Order: sequence, then C-alpha cells, then structure tokens
Amino acid sequence: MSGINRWSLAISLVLAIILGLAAWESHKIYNEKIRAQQAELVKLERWSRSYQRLLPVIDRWNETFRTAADIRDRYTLFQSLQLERYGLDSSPDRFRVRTLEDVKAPNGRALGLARICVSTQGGGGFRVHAETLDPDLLEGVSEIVSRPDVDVSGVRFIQQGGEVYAVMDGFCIYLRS
Amino acid sequence: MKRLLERLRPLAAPDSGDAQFVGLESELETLDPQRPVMLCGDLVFISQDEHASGLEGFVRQPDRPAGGALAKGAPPLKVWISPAALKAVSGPVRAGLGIDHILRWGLRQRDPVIVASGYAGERESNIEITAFGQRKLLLTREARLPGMGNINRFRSDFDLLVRKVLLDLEWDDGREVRVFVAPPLPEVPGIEYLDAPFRRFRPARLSDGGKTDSSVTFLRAHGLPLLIAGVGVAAWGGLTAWDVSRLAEQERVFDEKVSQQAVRGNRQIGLERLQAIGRFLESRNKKASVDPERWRDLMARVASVSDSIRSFRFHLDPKPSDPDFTFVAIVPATDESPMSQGSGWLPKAAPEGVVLQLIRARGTTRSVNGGAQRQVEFHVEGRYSEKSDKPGEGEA
Repeated sequence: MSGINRWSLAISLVLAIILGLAAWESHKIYNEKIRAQQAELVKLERWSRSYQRLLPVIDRWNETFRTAADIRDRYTLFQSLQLERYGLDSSPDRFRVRTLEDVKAPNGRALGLARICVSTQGGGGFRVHAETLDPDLLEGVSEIVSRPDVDVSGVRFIQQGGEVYAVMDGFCIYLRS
Repeated sequence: MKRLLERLRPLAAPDSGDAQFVGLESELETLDPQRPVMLCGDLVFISQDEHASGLEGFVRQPDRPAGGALAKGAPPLKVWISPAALKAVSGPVRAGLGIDHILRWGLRQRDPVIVASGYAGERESNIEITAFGQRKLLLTREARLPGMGNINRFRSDFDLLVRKVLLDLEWDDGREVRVFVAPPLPEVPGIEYLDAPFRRFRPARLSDGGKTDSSVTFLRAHGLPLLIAGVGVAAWGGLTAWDVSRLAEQERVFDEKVSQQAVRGNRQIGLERLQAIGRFLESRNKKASVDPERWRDLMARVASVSDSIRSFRFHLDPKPSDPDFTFVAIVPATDESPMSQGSGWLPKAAPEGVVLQLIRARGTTRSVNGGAQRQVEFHVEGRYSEKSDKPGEGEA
C-alpha cells in the first residue's frame, strides 16, 4: 500500500461510493419506469387482442347492414329493400318513411346505424303482394322478416274480395350511416 | 576543539520528529533509512532571482510560493537539490526540505524576522539567511562563514552578515528585527533559537527532473485510486446505460405495437364502438328466423275447417300478454248461437301444439248468387303451447 496517495485514494473511494449510490438510485427509478412501460404494453396487448378478435365484426357488420350512402330518396330506399328478390311486390307510390332514428348503444353512443321505419298504409303497415298466398307470399314474407337488418312486429295475411296480400306491421330497416 | 565539535554537532543539530538533518554529500552514505531525512545545507540551493539557473547538475524542484496568493513583491522561491541527495532518498526513505519548514513558519510572520539556517561545518559554515515580514519571504542569502569552532569569529562575521541584510532591506532605521538561528545550526549564545518549525516533520515531494518515468510514480500514487474511481464510473455508467437501453427497448416495442395497431385499425373504429357493434350484431343474429311451415300448417288447418279466412295475423315480437297470432275465420252459420257454434268449431281448427281462444263470434249475412247466406265470423287468438312456460296451459 506504500506510495499510494492517501488523498487520491479517499477521493476516489468517496467518488466510487457516490457513483454507486447514484447508479443504484437511478437504477431503481429506471426499473420503475420500465415496469410501468411493461404494464402499458400488457394493457396495449390485451386491448390489441380484443381488437383483433373483434375485427371480423366489422366485416359482418358491413355484410349485415346495407350502407345508407346509396339512398338518395324514397324511391331508392324502396328499391334497396329488393322486394323482388323475395317474389314480392308493393306500391312505391304509397311508400312513406314514418320514422328515422340513430341506433344507440346501451351506453348512449351512436352505433353509426339508422333505423328507418316505413309503411305504405295509413296505419303504419307495409303492404306486399305476391302471385299466390302459398308459397309466394308465405315464403317471401317469412324470408324478408327473417332478415337481420329488418324489424317487423307482426304480419297479417289478408284475403279480401278475392285478393290476397300481406301487411307487415312495424316494418323497419337498419342502414349503416 | 575539532573533536569536541565533531562530537557535539549531531547533538547540537536537533532532530525534528526523529528526522536526520543532512547537509553534506558525504553524509548521504551513512543515512539511517528508517528515519526521515531533512535535506539542507550544500544539498539544497535556493534562489528568489528569476534568472537563477541553479548549480551545475542540481535538479530543479517545484517553486515554493514566497507569500500568499495575493502577495506582491515576493517572487516564488526556486529550489534545486543535489542529484546525489535525490538518489539517496529515492527509495522508501521519507525526505523533507529544511527550507520548506522555515518557509512555512516564516510566511506567518507579520513583523520583520531574520532566520539563519544552513549548515555548520567543521571549519566552515554554509549559512542560509532568510528574511520574512508582512507574511512574505523578502530575501534569501547564502554566505560562507567561518566554522563554529571559533565561535567569536563566527559571531562577528555573522553579525556583519546580518547588518548587511538589514541594510539591504532598509531595516536599519532602528526598528525591531528579531534574529533567529534555526536547526540544523546549533544554538548560538545570545541569539534566539528557532526550533518550532521543525517539531513536526513534513515530507516534500521531490522531483527527480524526469530521470525516472514520472508516469510510474504517478501510477504508484494514483493507480489504485484511479482504478477504484474507474470501477465506480464504469458501474455507474454501465448500469445507467443498461437501464437506458432497456427502457428504450421497451419503448421501441411499445411504439412498434402502437404503430402496428394504427395500421390494422385503419378504419379508426374504437374498441368500445367495436364491442357495442359486436353486441348489437349478436342481438340481431339471435333473432329467430321465421319458418313459413308453421304459418302454412296453421293456415291450412284453419282453412280446412272454415269457409274462408278473412285475415291471419302473426305477432313476430309478442309481449307476454299478446297472443302469438290472431285470425278471423268465416264459417256458415248453424242454428246455434255464434259463441256456442264457435266453441264447438274451435278444437277442429287447432293443430297440435297450439292453444286457441275464441275472442268473439259474430253472425253476418253475405249475398251469394242472389240469395243471402248467414255466416259466422270467429275472432280467435292463438298461442304456441310449447312456447308457454305456464304449466296449466297445455293443449286443449
């Protein structure tokens, strides 16, 4: 140990101790920061997994509901129902929009979906015709009321004076807005 | 007398803190390596003259300050040491300079003092005069005086020397100037003896003029401390760098995830809305699709027992109080009252799994082919019994 400058040794020891303590303190702080960052990452990954799982929902959403972008007027709205696909017919001249509202999630936020209730009759019924009661009218009506983008509260099949038709009550269609 | 002096000298030159005063080259050979060495006399040359170049072969030492940092008129004291002395003390011997001890004391003196140190030889003395005042070194002078063997001659020459110094310093105006004799000179009767500065030995760092690699001594003095400090710096730097890089890596991974998310989620639909949409879709898709067979069965059954069916109404989203369907059937009237005719007719119209309830029966008249035909309208409510959760309400 001879020849070693005592002052130099003391200063270096103090310096080393101070640096060591400082390093340890900052190490603790960094560890905390890193832990917080990891927690954020876990949160993000959890979010990401939920999001990934839900992404197909968007495609199903787009498949299930037609877009309102193509609807310009009553007539195009009527056409968008595509009644002819179900072998049904109605009178576009009497076609009316009764109500139009934004569909809201239970938390009150808009889903980006409009619920449009339509009718062709004063009482709110939507009257459709077909060649025959069975099978045309029965099957056509059952198909259209089964559509997930359509709400119907009731269906009446009516024979009057040799004429057969169906009236769908509370007919509403959902359109993506 | 010589012999007496020879014997006297070591006694007269007091040790300071066990240090041995060495002022002649010849004495270097008989050094006691266990004791500190105080170099003085012929082995040390000092000068305050800025042009002084020392003695031949002597090794320049770091300058000594001749006053405080702000002192004016006190040029630093140059010091040279005999190479032989340097060599002798280069080992593990602790070495100090006499002049350093005197300087340390002298620079504290406010009043004028003159200190005579040096070396008292056998026949000759090498006297070193230093004068201090105002906490400054004001003058150094070296003089060869007679040996102390003849104390009277020495004394008269010494007095002469002091007077010259007083003259040179312009201290000859009668002011009080204290004159000291300091080790290693022996005490001189009638002159104050100054041994206070030497009570504690203070080693001097001696430069060997670069003959040995100064980095070697530097390393020996500071190597281990530097290593310790280096380890501290390295530990601090390393740990901090590691921490910084770990945090940066974490942040990079996070940012990457976020940007991936931003790319995938480019439709900008928030998770919350996505969840709401999912729930809504689920509720829509749970909606039971309507089976036309059910309608068909029911209508065919009713039609088979009635003349005609006015209307058939199916509730697709019935409230608990609502029937699942209602219909109006028309049958030819009998003699019975409409209600009792109805209660007889009703079971015929009900297929399996259906509960019918006659709400109203009304007689009407219809003209057929010019004649009037009496008919009855049955207003009936129906419920699917398999849907009913009320136990008493089975099939009629």
